[in-house]
Amino acid sequence: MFTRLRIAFLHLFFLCSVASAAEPLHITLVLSDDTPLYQSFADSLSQNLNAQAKIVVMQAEAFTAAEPKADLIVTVGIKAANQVAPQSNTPLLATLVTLDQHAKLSRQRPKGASLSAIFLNQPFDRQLALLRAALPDSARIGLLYSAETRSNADELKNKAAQQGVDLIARLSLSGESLHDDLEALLDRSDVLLAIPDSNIYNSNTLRNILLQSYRHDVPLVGYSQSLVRAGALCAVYSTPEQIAAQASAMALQFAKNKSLPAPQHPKLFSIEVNADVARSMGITLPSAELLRIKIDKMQGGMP
Amino acid sequence: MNNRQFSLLTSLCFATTCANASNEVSELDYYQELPVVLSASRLAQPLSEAPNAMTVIDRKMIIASGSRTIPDLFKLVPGMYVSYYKGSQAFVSYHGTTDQYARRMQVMIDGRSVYMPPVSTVDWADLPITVDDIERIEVIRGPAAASHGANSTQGVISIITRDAGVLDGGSVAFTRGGKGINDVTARFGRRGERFNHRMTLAYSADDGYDNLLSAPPGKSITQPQVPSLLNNSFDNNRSKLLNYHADFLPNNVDNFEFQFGLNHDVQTVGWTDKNTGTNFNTTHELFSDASFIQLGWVHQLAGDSELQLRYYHIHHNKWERLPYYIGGSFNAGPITQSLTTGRDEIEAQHTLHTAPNNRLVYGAAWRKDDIDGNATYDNLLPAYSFATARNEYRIFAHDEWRITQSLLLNTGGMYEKDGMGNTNTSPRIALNLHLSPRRTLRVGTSIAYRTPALVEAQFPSVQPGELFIPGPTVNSPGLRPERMQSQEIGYLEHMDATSSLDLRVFSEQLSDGIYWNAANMFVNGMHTQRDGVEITFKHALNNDSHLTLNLAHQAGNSNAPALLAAGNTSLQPASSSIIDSYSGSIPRSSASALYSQDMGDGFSYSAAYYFQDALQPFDRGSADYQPVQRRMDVRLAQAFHPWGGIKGEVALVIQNLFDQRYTEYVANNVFDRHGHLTLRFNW
Repeated sequence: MFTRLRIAFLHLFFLCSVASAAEPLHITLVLSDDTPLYQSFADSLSQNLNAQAKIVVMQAEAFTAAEPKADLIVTVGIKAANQVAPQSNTPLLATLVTLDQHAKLSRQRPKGASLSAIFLNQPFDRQLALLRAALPDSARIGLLYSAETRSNADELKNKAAQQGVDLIARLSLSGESLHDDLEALLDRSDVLLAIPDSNIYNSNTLRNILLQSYRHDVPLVGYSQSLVRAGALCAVYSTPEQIAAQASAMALQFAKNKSLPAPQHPKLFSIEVNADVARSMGITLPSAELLRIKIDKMQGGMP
Repeated sequence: MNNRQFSLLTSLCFATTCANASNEVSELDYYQELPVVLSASRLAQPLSEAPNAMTVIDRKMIIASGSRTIPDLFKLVPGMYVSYYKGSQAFVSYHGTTDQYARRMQVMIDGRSVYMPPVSTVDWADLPITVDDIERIEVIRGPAAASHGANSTQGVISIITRDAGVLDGGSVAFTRGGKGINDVTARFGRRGERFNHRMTLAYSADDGYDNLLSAPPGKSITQPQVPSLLNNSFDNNRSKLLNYHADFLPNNVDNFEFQFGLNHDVQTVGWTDKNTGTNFNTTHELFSDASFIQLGWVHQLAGDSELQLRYYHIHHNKWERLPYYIGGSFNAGPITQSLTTGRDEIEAQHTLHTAPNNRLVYGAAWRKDDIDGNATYDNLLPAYSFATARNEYRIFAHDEWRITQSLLLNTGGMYEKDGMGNTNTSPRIALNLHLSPRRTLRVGTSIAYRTPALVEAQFPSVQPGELFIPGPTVNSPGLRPERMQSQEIGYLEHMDATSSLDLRVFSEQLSDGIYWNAANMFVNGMHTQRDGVEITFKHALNNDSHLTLNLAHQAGNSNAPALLAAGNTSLQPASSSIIDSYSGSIPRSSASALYSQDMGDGFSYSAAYYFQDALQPFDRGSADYQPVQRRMDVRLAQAFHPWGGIKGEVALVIQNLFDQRYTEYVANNVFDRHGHLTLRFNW
């Protein structure tokens, strides 16, 4: 009897979910490009939402306001966001955008059209936690920034000051002075914290920056997996799949509450370490798994 | 994402970044694939994990030392003996040497062996690089044939030149000083997206040691070997050199390197008063053209694996013309001698992780040496030529196994055919135990061989001038390689972030050592035993001041007394106070210290101190006994901004500040106080 009841209950629950699947959330997913980065985001999003959403995938160029009506538009990358934001009233979740880009997008939105975002950059607290977990003895954190990233640097400086961290920030105004600016900074730093800034870190300059910091015996803590493979000591970053998972959760919240959650930093993240670089520089670096545990602890058990 | 996807993404990313004029940060900054810069071959093995004791002289130390020439830098290596046969003829040898050719140490520049036949030595004057071209020097103390091949008997000097991308702009430097020091260096470089290159043009001149006007310190000019010591004005050196280094990075996995260089060097050599009446080495000029070309390819494979291919060609051409004396009479002659040495080498090497805790490096190499000598001895002897080629082959493997977090086992070996009919197998094993993250204990043993030099096997019957043209016949048949075996215990400690200690206790045995016997032949049969301790202490007082202290103490014995008793008079000690001519030729203690301080506002100073115990050079007479050496060098530098984006620096170096005059390997060379001033502009 009890068993039967339970089966009935389960059946009811199943029906409920079928009922919600009968009216799935309609999502238009707009990609900035069709490269593997965006494709893996798209694949991941559809897998996560499975039957709970109907997803139409399109390229940024193909998007027009006359597109079939969707409940939610999710964009991946800045190009797609720029294409969609001014054109459509549909609630928009822009992923893989910076804080600055988000601010610009919100100004472009039609009146009353809602916008949320998942930012590209990791929260500074998390980066700081990584530095502390990986290099507890490195007191002086060097930061090189350009005019383009002045606002990020200012934010970092404020955060550092609040947390009593010795952050030595140096502005580099031109490609010509980059080498000398870095030289001066490396002389004063125990670790170099890299922030995304194509004026400073690009495929053109990276080689010399990594060699220069290696020569100074100053490790570079990066922001991407490929930077670690290139020669940075470690980095905290989020994969497109992790961002897609977060976007799925936000979409489900939207389906439930009919309003988008507030813009947020990546919640799921990975740690990459370059054990060869650590070893060569004589740094005893915990494994990526152990670093992860330490960071979670420092951030109050947050996953 | 797999590799292919990554590379697809990469190419797109580059296209997008290039097309996108705005430098706004975007997702591409986070997700673009980047070239592997700090690859396995670029990453230096940390001292605490290396299988050998190693001294690293980095750029900062090079500058702080104030050294104008490369050989002087090795005074900063514990246990290293640096001396001069003539002002332009330096030699560098770890744990002493038996002659001025220092034939038991391998020397490499960017992996290119400059240890050249037929004498098997390094001519430091004709290297096509300047001190300014050097990024760092790694000196392996102890035999390292397992990784560097034959002739790494006592150790290996590995000079790593500065990266092609190190300079974006130009630099000129002018140096003037005592002893005719007159150097001009111009350097240019360009850093690009896919292509970096740099070039150095340099002229360097000095007049070597002074012509003596009085006896050297502690000497009487009536001492036996030569009737007079009052000549050494013929050791000027003039060199014009050029080197070029380019790196091409067509994609993220390949790195092509191209280098070439040449050095035209003119040294004044010879003696005016040696064996007057039978002088075969009158004062004259020795000309040298040394050039090289080097190609390298490093290819990154999946899974931290790396493939390296290197080819280089070295071409040395030296020649001299000199009159001579025979039977007391002067012969205008002249004797002319020329020697051409060519070397081609190809090496392939693969580095891979066979497991997360195991790294393997293996490879193979082929080397061909061509030696071509010509001599015209006037009416004395018929014209004579010599030509030979030697092919050497080697295979090697080195494995680094991290048994546990704190235990590392380095095993390696090399098998080679030396082109003189010998095959050598040189193994090495070392166990590194990390007692704590800051303390490491290393125990290792290693075997290395030295291939007999061509001139040892075919010693010329007459040796006029400076060049050795190998003789037409093998007059020292059956020579076997010398064998060196070494055991060592090392201890490294980082007391804190600012101090470190590196201690090495060693015991090494040379067997089958080659010596000149009673029958006037080179033969195997000398055995030596050497034990000692070497200590390096480094301390950074703060970020702007650095101190390095090196100490070495060694004692040894050999069978030289027994060989002497058997009638081999070449092993006769120079004075009655010495029993063992070999052991007497090694300084028991030596020390060096280097301190540098950056005072801010562009002003910096540094001081170096060198100490070396007394010794009797092995193959020299008692006149050349080297008393204790003490020397203090200082360097003062001030940066300034003359105009625009140009940066200037003026640096004053005074060597032997307290004028504690000492004599070198040949006592005519008296090192006294002198200085030089360098003015440099960078833009």
